[in-house]
Amino acid sequence: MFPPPDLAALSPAARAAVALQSPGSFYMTGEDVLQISGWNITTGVRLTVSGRFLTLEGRIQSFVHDVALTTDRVIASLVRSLGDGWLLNLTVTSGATSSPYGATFARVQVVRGLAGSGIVLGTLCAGYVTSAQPIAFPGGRVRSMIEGRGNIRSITGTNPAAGVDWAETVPTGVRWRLLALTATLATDATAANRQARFGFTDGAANLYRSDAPNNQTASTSVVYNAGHGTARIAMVSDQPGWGLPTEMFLLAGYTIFSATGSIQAGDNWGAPQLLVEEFLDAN
Amino acid sequence: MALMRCKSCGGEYDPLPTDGVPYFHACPPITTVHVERAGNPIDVPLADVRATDLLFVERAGAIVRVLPAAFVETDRRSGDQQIQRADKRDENVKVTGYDKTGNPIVAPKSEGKGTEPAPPK
Repeated sequence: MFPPPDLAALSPAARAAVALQSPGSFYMTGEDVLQISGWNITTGVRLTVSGRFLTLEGRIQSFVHDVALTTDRVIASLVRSLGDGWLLNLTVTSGATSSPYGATFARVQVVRGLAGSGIVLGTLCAGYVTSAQPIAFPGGRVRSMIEGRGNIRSITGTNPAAGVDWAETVPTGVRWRLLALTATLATDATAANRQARFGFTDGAANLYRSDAPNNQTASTSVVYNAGHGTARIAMVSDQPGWGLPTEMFLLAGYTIFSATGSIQAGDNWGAPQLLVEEFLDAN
Repeated sequence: MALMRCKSCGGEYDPLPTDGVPYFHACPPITTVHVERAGNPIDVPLADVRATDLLFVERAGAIVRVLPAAFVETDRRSGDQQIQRADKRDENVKVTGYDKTGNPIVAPKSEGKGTEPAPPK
């Protein structure tokens, strides 16, 4: 084993030469800090960032930093100084809490200046993490939130009051690809043909609408379904299908809704059940 | 977790389902019905339609006015609209500022009338 180099004894030019040959090639002055950022949807998740740092004195120090994340899909950041020296490597996981792939996104940057207003000097790694699937530096990638596959989620929506159609809004900070949905309409005894439609809106304009293949009469219960890439399906017993094109990406604030023609005050939709592929989508 | 009831729309939902991902409720729109009331055409919420209102319905290819009691199965109500309720609750967050560490401070987009525990079934 070679003894660690006496880096403090080196000239600035020699230190720079050593820095260029270090494994990560990321020399940090005392003014440079690590900024660890995360976006998350699952309760109780924390980012754990651990790594090794080579000081000017030639000592290799290990470090561990923990970042508490919120569940509201907005950024949570932590800034930590490592001192003067070389960042050798680091790895990021979602700690011990189990969360599915696509639920927690991490990014590690080197920043000079105060948190939130610093100058970003480098992005070391970024991507989705779980407790078992880390991102790392060096060798890791800087991935986009909307790259690859998202988080497959089964979501139970709001059960609306009688006489009210259902609507589900894509939450802040994510985008959805709608894969399937099902919702049940139980009609009251009022004689009327209901036309149960569904569609999407961006909040200002309707983007897509599908008629039901059949009218629904009084005192009946019908389960409406929509599946990724299926056309309308006529009702055989009580489960007709709405049409749903493929690749329907919906941004935060967009709404999936029913719009029931001739709906009666006693008609009752149940809570819609959605199957979506969800991507975090920070601006 | 116990179901909550939105006091703006009456909808019921689980704010923290078993997958540990909080659910952000946003009220659906209300349906308004185009009626003639006391000789004037107006749009009223579905729940406020009166027995004496005249509905505009499509019957045999023409728009006719009928009392709710005279509405028949093959009629199609005309003039319905979906509009956002004035007291809409939307729990999705908006950034209202930043704390001293640079992290965002968030609040619901709109509180509406608030929530209460849903009555037991």
